[in-house]
Amino acid sequence: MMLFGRTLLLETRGWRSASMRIALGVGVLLMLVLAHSTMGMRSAPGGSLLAILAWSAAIMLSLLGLSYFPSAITEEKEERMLGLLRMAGMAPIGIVLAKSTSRLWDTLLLLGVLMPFAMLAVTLGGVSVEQVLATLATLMCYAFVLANLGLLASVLMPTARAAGQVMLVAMSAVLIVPALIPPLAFLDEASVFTRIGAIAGIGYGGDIVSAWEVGALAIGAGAFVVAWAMFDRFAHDAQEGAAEGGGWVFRRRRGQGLRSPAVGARAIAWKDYHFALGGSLWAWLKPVLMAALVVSITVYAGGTREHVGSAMLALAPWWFALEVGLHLSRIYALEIRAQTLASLLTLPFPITAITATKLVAVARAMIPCGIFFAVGALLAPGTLGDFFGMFAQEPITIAFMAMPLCIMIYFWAWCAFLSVVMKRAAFVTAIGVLIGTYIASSIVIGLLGILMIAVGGMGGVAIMTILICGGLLAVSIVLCMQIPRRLEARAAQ
Amino acid sequence: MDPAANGSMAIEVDRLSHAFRGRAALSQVSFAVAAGSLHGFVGPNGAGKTTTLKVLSTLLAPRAGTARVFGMDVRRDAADVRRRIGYMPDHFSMYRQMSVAEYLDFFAAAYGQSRAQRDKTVGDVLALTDMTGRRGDFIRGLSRGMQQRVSLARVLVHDPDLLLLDEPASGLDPRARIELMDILRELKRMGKTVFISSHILSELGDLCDSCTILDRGQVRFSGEMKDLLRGDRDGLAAYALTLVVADEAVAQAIRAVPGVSAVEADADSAGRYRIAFDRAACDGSAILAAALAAGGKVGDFREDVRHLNDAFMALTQAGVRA
Repeated sequence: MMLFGRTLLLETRGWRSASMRIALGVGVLLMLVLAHSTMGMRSAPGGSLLAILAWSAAIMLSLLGLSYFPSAITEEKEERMLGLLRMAGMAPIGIVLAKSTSRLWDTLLLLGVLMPFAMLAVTLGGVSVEQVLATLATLMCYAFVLANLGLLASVLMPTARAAGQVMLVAMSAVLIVPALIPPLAFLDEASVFTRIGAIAGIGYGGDIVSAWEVGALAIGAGAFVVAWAMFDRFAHDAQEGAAEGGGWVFRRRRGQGLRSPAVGARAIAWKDYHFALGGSLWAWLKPVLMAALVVSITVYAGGTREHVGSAMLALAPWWFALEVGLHLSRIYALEIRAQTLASLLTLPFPITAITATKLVAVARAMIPCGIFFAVGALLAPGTLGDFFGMFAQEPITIAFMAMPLCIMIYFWAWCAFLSVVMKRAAFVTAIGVLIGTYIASSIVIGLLGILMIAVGGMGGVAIMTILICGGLLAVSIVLCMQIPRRLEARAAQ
Repeated sequence: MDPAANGSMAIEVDRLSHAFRGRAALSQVSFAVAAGSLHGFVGPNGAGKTTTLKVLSTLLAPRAGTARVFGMDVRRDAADVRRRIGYMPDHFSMYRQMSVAEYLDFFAAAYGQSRAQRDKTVGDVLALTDMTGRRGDFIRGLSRGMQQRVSLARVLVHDPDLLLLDEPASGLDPRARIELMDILRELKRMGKTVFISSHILSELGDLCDSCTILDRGQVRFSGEMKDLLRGDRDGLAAYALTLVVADEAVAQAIRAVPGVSAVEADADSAGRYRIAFDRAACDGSAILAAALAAGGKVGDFREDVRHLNDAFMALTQAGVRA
């Protein structure tokens, strides 16, 4: 209980938990203001508010499921503290309970922030008290199942990253695969988003606690018991340097050398390409994975050449945005974890030159994605033609296209920035920031809707787009300018 | 050591000050290191050794004062300084998924060496650190001592003139430590300046030509090692004479030598005498001659040098930095 008490105190009193609760409270308050201001325009403003709150909370919990919960035991493994805890006479049940329950409690406190606001949704109309209570019950059960599955992954896997990857696979199986592969559509019933959609819908007449919640509790409890039972067998301190990452580097045998690096700063690009971004093997494997994804999407849609090409064109930009973000969240994070930053920054190049060569490595790693897009364009030239034709017909759409580009740059800037300030989970946190920004900007757009009406028509939309894009780019520039300073401070530590 | 008196200084630090969150880490630190010397940099934990090394390696900009490496300012001429130094931090700073040869080849390439040059360089530094047989091994599979050798080899790939080594012997077993010291001696013979921070004082005493002792951000001593270890007390030279058989007559004869101020028998060791004298008035040979003339059977006669541990303890303060 001593460890439980200490962990609970640290988790709940820490600045990170407090700031997350404050941020969530402010966000929810803004949503409420928006819902209230648009009451007259909606048939069920309370229902809309509840749905937005529930979706936001479910996304936040999902992100915590990928980063926060899987590090429960693995963080002790990586810091090589688990052996010391065991030597201090702590029983496995004590460690497992302390490390998982404190995180779950911290998360439930976050959900607690939603409670009074969710209840206010009833006063806005279009939603019943039972629906609000059912939503909160669902979210709490979702937190419970994620916390315990994360705990199990962190007991079984040696590092937080590996545990996070296990959680990613497990969550994808429930949240993404059913949408892509129709024969597995039945898994959709297990998705928290399906359940929330059902509860927040008009005329929900189900119970506050349904089979979904009971199932989640049962799976969570089962995962906890298995984690406890497996603790002795799997929970050992990680090997020295295990937390440094480089998991995309495929194991080579002794003497299996790589081609020599180029001379000068370009050598850094060689190092990053082969030892941080996966190298040639990953470059070959990636198109295979992308092709498998396209096949799984198109095979049930007829699988014509045009279908396949369109799917490739649709997939490639998403893949590109996410993979670049992932790489940007790693190129300096790996140096920090491996404590190689000092060696790197004492090379006779300025940080800007080092960063530029690292970006060259990222660009090289993205070549397969570019080829994939080009093949898609060859297979479905009509789709690409329609896309560009839209610009010719409606030039204003070019301005709208700037929005996704700015969002992408904004996301990348956060990935890169967070990777130099956070110990782990920079990529997942950047996704969280992006979603948070989306919600915040939706509220701002809603509140400034009057501007659109005043300016009138597409002009108002264009002004809004320019304002938002400018804001996103300004934040991105500020974040990027912070990175060299942060790196220098890290190297000097 | 007066920097102005010697034109070939590898390091010149002048009134260097730095603070972390309002807490002074370095306060008016000044010292100099001659080119081609092996300079020990010692001090208790928190004395400011690593901070000084970070400044010298261009990683940390000091709040006040200047630091020069071969006459170049570490802030203004950072890129040029980096080409002349090899910095080895106090932690393992390695790409563990690389093989030993890849790791060294990468750094040699980053320093601008052509492929042909690199083959020779990597071979040379591996030979120097006795790691030739391990060139194909992955770094993650090497022992701590071997990883330290690879780190040292990495520091040498661009043939720097000055090596800044932060606790290179930390965590090494006695054999690895002795071998590391041999490599450092070899580097000095090659003309490199070695600036080494270490806690292992016994080895530094034998290894270094000069030394700086830092305590709580301030220099307590900086100069030749022999000056630090010399047992001089109150301006008088101290020698130790060991007679095969204790003989008070010999002691009396030495007391009669002009300039000798004290001859004391060592209570812990029969036949051993501690002699204090004014260097300006006489020298060791006059004392030895007096002892022999008085019929003393001399077993040993030497300057009474201090151990570095004693000098360190005398110059630094006890307790944890407040």
